[in-house]
Amino acid sequence: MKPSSSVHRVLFIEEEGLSQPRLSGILDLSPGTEYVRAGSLREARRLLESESFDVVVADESRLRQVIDSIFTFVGLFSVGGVVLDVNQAPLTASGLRREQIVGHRFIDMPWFAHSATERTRIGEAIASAANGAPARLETWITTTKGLQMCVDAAFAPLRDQNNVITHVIGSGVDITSRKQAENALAGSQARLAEAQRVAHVGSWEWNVADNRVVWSDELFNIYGIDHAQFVANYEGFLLRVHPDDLDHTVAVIRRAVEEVTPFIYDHRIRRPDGSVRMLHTRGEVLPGRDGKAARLVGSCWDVTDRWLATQTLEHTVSTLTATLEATADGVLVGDRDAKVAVLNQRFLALWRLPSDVGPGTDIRHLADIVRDQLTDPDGFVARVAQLYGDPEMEAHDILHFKDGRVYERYSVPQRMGGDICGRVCSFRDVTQREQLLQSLEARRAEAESARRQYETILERVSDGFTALDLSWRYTYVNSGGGRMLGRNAKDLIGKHIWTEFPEGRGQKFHLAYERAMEEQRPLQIREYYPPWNRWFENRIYPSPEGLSIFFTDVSQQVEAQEELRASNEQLRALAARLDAIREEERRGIAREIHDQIGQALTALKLDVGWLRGQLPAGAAAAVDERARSMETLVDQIIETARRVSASLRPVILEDLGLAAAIRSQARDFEQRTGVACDLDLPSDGVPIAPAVALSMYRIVQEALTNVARHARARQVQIGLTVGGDTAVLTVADDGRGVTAEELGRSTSLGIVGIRERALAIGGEVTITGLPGRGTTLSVRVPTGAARTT
Amino acid sequence: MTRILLVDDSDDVRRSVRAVLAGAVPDPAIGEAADAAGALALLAQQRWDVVVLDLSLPDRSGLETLRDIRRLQPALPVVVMSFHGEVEYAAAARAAGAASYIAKGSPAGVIADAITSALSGTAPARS
Repeated sequence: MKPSSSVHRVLFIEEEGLSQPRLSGILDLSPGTEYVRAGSLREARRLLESESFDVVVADESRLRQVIDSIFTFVGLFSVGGVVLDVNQAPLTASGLRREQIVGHRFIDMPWFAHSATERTRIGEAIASAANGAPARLETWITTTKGLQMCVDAAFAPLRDQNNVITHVIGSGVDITSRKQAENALAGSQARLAEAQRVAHVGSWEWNVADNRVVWSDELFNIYGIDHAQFVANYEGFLLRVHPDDLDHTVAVIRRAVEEVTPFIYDHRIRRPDGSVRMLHTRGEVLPGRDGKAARLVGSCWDVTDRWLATQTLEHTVSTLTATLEATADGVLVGDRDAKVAVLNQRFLALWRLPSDVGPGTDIRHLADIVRDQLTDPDGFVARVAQLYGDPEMEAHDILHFKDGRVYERYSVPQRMGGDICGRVCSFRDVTQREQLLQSLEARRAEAESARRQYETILERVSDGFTALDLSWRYTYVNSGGGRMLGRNAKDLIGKHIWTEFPEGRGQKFHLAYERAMEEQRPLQIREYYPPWNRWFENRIYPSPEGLSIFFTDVSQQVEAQEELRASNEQLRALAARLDAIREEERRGIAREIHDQIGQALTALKLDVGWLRGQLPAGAAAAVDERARSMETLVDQIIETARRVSASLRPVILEDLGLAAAIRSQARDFEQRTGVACDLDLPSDGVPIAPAVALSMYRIVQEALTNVARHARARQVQIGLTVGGDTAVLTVADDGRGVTAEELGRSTSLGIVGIRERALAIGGEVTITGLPGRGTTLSVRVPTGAARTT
Repeated sequence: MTRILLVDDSDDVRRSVRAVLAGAVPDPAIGEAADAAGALALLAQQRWDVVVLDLSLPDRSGLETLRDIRRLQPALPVVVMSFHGEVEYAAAARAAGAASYIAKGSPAGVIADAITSALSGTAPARS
């Protein structure tokens, strides 16, 4: 029943033939009002019970009949609330007689005896209607049979033609069953909500036409928002969808709406706190009368936990797969029937198996394929059979291949929940490691053997050998060392060196030990050791653990060397003396030739010339011819005498000095050999002692002889500079260049001679050769006595 | 008269040169010295027109003697005659003031030319 503030629906109960104008006379029919016609009492009753009407119009007897026959309670009250009339329905329902009600105040009826509150509500409702305001309420009454009944009661004013309220009309419907059903529904809805809450399932409904969205409480929970935060329309929903899933969501729903088909999809949502949930949504589309989507209803299941678990699982699987492929080991997982369950590429590569070998392959078959690669094929195959025949077995094997490879195999049972479900084998190429181990073992054996040999050798050598630790204590002394130190070698072990030999403190050997230790580099030292009046040679080898020292008494050696040195000195002095004597002899002979023979020849030449001049004009031609040939002969002898004299002794050196002598010599060299000489000499006399000048002259002579003999030079540069007390002579040719081997050869007498001459006058010789670029000799000598030569 | 001082330690050489000069110089008056000391003494005693000087003297270096003569009598020409064939000697002699340098063993004509040139204050036709 609708509130009766305005008349909307009117029910006419008409007998057959009742004319419309008559009805119109009864009521002022107005547009907008719905008139429903009941053609029979039966129909009128059905309509009254199933629909709401504001006014029922019929003639009174007919109305009475209708009213009495309907289940709706109808009563007519005075404005003071006294019951004036009722229909049959309340009487039947309450078990009261009409006279028990009519004439009494309605609120005094036994129905309301149970509750003062209900009586007050009813009284107020009637009073309200009597004052012109219709009232409606649900009230619980107690029937005479003691039953509780819920009545939907309405009270409306009844006016006369002058619009004065004369009565109040009450009506009521037993809604007990509905109420009970409602209660049951409420309970069921609560249980549904509870179920939704427990299952994390929320339900929703979207009314497409007015874009209104309704969510269940659990859906709000799932979205993490309360009702106030939700704009209850489609756009409000989309606002909550995770941006990455928005397009998909819109597409799914659009398609469902367009095609009017059920849909299932997953999408993520974002909660206000930023957390993300994954929802599994099932929806249905309910078409309207036009066949188009009118409403969408569905449920959302919060599958975040499952989604996260799946993601984790996927990640784990991908990690495991990647790990399996990334590992340097070959991995083979077999099931209990010795069939391949999993393997990685590395496994195939290690065993040189084709890439199509995969899950399901019989592992014993694989063993047969690869068996011939191994040095012991039968043993290998038998071991594989053993491994797959004994699920519990754990094994570690080294597999040797014919081509030298060595693999390591770990094989352990695979367990799942405590049960063995297969076998995992990992293979690793340990060829290098095995080789290394073998070589290490060999090295260790070698080292051990070497150590024994060394000890044996150390005991046999005449050298002393001691080892000192970082705190200067002996850790080893060989017997030779003990002898040299004047001790029993074994007694020294563990003793401090400077406690045992305090006299050695501060000696050069002590300092050398400390330096070797500090700098951590080997040192060799040969020194006189005053406390023992002996010479020793030490070879000191430091290590982070201490020092190893070889030592030898070299006193005899040193003495012998000293003797040798002295002997060499004597020899050199002797050689120099011999040279001086020879030079002196040459000088004498040269003088002799010059003074005696030269003079005689000079006179002879002039005399022969004079004789020829004395020959008479008629003298025999033969005599003149003989005289002429005598002259020629004398000329030749003079030339020879000059040459012999000059080669014996460069008189020019004494007469004109070193520069002139070198110049003369160079010119002679040019004429003899054709090798050009480029001279850079002081123009005047140079302040060099005669002995030094002679040596320099001889050095130039020998150097030029070498150039002529060996250098294959085109040009020679000879330079002489004198500065302070030092003269430097250089002879540089542009020939093939002397080699280091030639320089070191003892048979290079020219070079040895040059060195000896330079040494004799306290000079230094440098000879350098560049292949194809010539040889440069440089002699640096002290000028000696400052006498100009 | 041409006064010529001949300085050479060899009697034979002096004799031979004298013979050459006899035919080459008009009216030669030849003095002789066998060493430097003798030569310097003669130079101090009398006037000479020319000196023929050997570089190899028993008592002193011929070049030093040449320098002394040139210092004492700068106008006196000195013809150096030496057994040394090296040009360095000729150069040294000229540097010390010699009028010319004759290698011993040269023909008589060369010697005569050198002396006459020295006397006339001109360069010798041959050297």
